[in-house]
Amino acid sequence: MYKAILYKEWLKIRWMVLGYLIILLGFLTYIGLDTRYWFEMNDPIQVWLVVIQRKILYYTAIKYIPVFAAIVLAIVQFVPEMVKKRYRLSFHLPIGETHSLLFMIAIGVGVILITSAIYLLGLTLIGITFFPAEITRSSLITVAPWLLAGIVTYLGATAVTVDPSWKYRIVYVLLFAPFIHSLFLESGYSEYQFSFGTYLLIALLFSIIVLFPGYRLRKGSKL
Amino acid sequence: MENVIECVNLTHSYGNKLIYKDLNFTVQKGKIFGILGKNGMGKTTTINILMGFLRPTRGKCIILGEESHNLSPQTRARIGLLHEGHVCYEFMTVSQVEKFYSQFFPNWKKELYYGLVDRLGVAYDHKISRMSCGQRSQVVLGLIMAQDPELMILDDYSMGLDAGYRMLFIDYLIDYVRENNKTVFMTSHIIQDLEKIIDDAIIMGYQKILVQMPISQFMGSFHQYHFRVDGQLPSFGIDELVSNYENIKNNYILYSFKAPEEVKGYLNKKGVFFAEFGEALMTLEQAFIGLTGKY
Repeated sequence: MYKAILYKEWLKIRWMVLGYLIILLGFLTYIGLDTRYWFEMNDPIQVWLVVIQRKILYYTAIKYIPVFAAIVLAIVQFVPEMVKKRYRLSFHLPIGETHSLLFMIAIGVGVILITSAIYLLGLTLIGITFFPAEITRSSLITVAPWLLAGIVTYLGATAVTVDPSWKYRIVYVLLFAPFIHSLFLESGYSEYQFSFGTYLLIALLFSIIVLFPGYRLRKGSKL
Repeated sequence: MENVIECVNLTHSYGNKLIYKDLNFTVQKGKIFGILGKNGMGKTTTINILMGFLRPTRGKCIILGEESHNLSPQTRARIGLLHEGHVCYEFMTVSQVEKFYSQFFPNWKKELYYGLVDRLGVAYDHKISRMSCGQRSQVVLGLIMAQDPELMILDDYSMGLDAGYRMLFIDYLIDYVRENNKTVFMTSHIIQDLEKIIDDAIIMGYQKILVQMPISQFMGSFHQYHFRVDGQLPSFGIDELVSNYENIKNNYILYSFKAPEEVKGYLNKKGVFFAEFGEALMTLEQAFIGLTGKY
């Protein structure tokens, strides 16, 4: 039965995932080419000064990509379920409603994790090609909150899409938006290195919220 | 006979707005049960409660031995639902939707689904979103039949269907249900179609059930009388004898469950000078309108 749900979700998201991968790989290629251009057009010392002293991150082009992708993913995955009240089809399947919803969300999170791994792999390849290991390691630590923001945004966008009430949708935006914003406040490298664990724990708490709209939907709440 | 659905003291309100109070009805195994009512009388609310998408304010509905708002996955597998508007996963193709559903139901009858779909003459890779409402209705019916459920709940199956597709839907449904001894609970806004399908019915009025009986009994016991009144035009209260009435000038139509002689006696007792008293045969739709009124 879970295989069938995986099949349904895949049918919904496959083109979006493909599009996201193309865009992500395009941006990673751009960053790689741009970095090479820096080194070819400037003195390496100068590049070093810009990167280390002025704390210019060479990969900001992909800073918000996980967040945008997460919003699109939640829409592509859950809007078809909400239109014409199709969620009722899922709720009537001979499988626990909570399990079904959680599995659908898990698939979305899984897609984000896989694409995040590609994101990290791309950055690692660019990093080890042009910079010392310390810079590469620090770039991965720097982008970790951005990727976490992608997961939290996906959960928030899912809650907003699934809840039948506009009042609660606004509440979710007010809850999620400040936390997501707080993951983008860096002004240099690895600034979330020591606080990332706390952010991760808060993100886990946020993941519980997403069950609430599902529950409300199940019992037919309109207010 | 075994009850597949049993609703006891069912009461529901949205905020302060009472939809109905203390509804009681049962649906027996193997019967086709219709719920008729004008818009806003609570048909959709009842269907939503039965489907488990709404918890009643008070009372309960037991479906296949379990409370409707708390059905186990095993019991849900025994119930086929047709949602109003033939809701379906429109992003899937004809074959994809079959592949999806087949994995949930152990008694899946693939041949029933494709038997119906083949009549449409559409390719198996045809996307459901590109189908007409009529074609989609056949896909949905095919899916429900393939599921092989004991109970089918059909919420306004006729919505958006032209006469041809309505007939096709009904013909397939009747054949399947009678052959396999299925129980059906259904609503439709096309009352005339239900006349040849349903065994038992409830007709819902404002906040209550007006009639609950086998449809043949209803059609045999509910009468439309017409007469002309000479003299002062009377008005009637809705009571045990008069279910409803209407008049255009001095021509009256009176609906009643009582025999002609009783009605004549009633009119005489009220001092009504009537002439040309007669009874007209009704279709189910006319009887429904007669009972519930045009407005």
